[in-house]
Amino acid sequence: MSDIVVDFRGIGKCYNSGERRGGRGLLSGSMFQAERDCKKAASQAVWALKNVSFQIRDGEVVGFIGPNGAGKSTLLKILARITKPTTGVGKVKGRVGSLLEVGSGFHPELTGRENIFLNGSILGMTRQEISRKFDEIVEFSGVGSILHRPVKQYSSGEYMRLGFAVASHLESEILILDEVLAVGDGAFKEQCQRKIHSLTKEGCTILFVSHRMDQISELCDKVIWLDKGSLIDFGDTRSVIGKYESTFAVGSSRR
Amino acid sequence: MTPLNTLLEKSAEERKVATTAVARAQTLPHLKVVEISPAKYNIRTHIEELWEYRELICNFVIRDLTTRYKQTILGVAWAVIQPVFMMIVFTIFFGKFMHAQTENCPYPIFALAALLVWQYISNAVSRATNSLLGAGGLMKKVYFPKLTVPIASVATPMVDFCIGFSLFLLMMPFFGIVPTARILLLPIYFGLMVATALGIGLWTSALHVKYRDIFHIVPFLLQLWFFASPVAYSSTIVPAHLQTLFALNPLVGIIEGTRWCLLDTTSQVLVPTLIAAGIALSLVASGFWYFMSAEDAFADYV
Repeated sequence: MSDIVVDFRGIGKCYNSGERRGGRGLLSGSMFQAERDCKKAASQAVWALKNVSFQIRDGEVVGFIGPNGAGKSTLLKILARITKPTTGVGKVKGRVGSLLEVGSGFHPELTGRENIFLNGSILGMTRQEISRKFDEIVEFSGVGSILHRPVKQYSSGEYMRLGFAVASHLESEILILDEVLAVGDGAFKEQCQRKIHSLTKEGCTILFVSHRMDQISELCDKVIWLDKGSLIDFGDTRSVIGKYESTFAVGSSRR
Repeated sequence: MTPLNTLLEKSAEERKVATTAVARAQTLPHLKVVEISPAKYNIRTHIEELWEYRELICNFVIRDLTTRYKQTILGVAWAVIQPVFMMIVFTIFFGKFMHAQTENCPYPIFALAALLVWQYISNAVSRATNSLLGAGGLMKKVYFPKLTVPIASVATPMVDFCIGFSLFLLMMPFFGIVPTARILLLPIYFGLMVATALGIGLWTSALHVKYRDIFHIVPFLLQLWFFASPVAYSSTIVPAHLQTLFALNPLVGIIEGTRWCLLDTTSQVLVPTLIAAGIALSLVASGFWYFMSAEDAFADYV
């Protein structure tokens, strides 16, 4: 079908414990051993995702829920092409904008203005596109008066607002939001909510990670529930959240 | 704000949303489909992506240039201070005290030609080596072609090189040197210089992500490489039967070739040039190959 924008089939991701630790020394293994290690030392391997399949249609707002370590972030990282899956295939239609952590491409020494252009091009915007949206981004961020100052002098709130402003003005067909709303003051949160609402009205597909069920039920059409790397349930927000909360309640009453 | 204003603004916003929605619906069937799988990207995809992200490479270079001279008193002057002071010290010790052979060139300019090349190579290689780890935070947050990072770090020192080279051209008349038609061949040597730095930079940057030993090895190897290259001396001091072996260092061909173009030196440069070209090209080819085979794991290793 033509309006399916995300199609994942049997996606899995394996980390071996060495990989997670980051770089290693030359003496701790031969140079090309690392790739083989994953298959060899099965006891050390951690499957962050196991055989996950789902489809998302254009314009849907999908929430991702599950306890810490369920694989939500890994799944979105695969979708955003930050990391590659170990198994499975997927198709993604259109540009993916990720707000996994806003402002991560900022350089502290550069001014707000310079960072808008730098961050925009990291996200895949052309210079022309950024210039066209520049005023809108500045207005949205509310840091217009300090745009000439290096961002290292910004408060963490201002820093974040600018980051969110750039990322949310990327013309992406699919937008990933990973708990960005958890930070910031009330006014900023409200501004983010409004932006997300208008993006959904424009038909943008949004993938949203949050631990707050009220946010999920307010914003999302559908919910994907992950636990220990497996897809537990995928369906309407109300029914999945209902099951999730009842499981959670049973789990906590047992303890 | 009056209610009317609010109403107008609201409807304007809604209109904008509506037009964007229509525009989006129209573009949907034409959108690019990205395949996600464990397979590696092929060379064509890499080249297409680099072209698509060419502005990002420029922005990385601009970022490095603007941040490098912020909070410095001397600013861009740093680009020439280093090679000029090295030239002065070299002239005193190697030129005056040791009477180094220079094929009848004034020693300062003979050394400066090589120092500019060396400074570029050394800056480009060390920047590239650390570039990927420096961009590690970014690689974990957003997708972009990783090749842009080492390419940008090899491009940045070109600016210093160009400033230094302009100074060199200004100095030439003071030493009574008039460039000949040989100067037209200079771009070949500059090209080989950049290719050598890029080839090595691709290797070291990718290796550095996995093996942190690279951080300790590269500065040390650069120092050895400096003494094994004809920067302070002329390659004519190497015995004839060892010349070919000596020329396996691509900097021999590049530096002597640069001198040949600018200073009219008489030494044979054809063979060292061909060897340097061969080595530079194989470094670039193998560097790309290794980088591409390693890049999928970068985000998991940093």
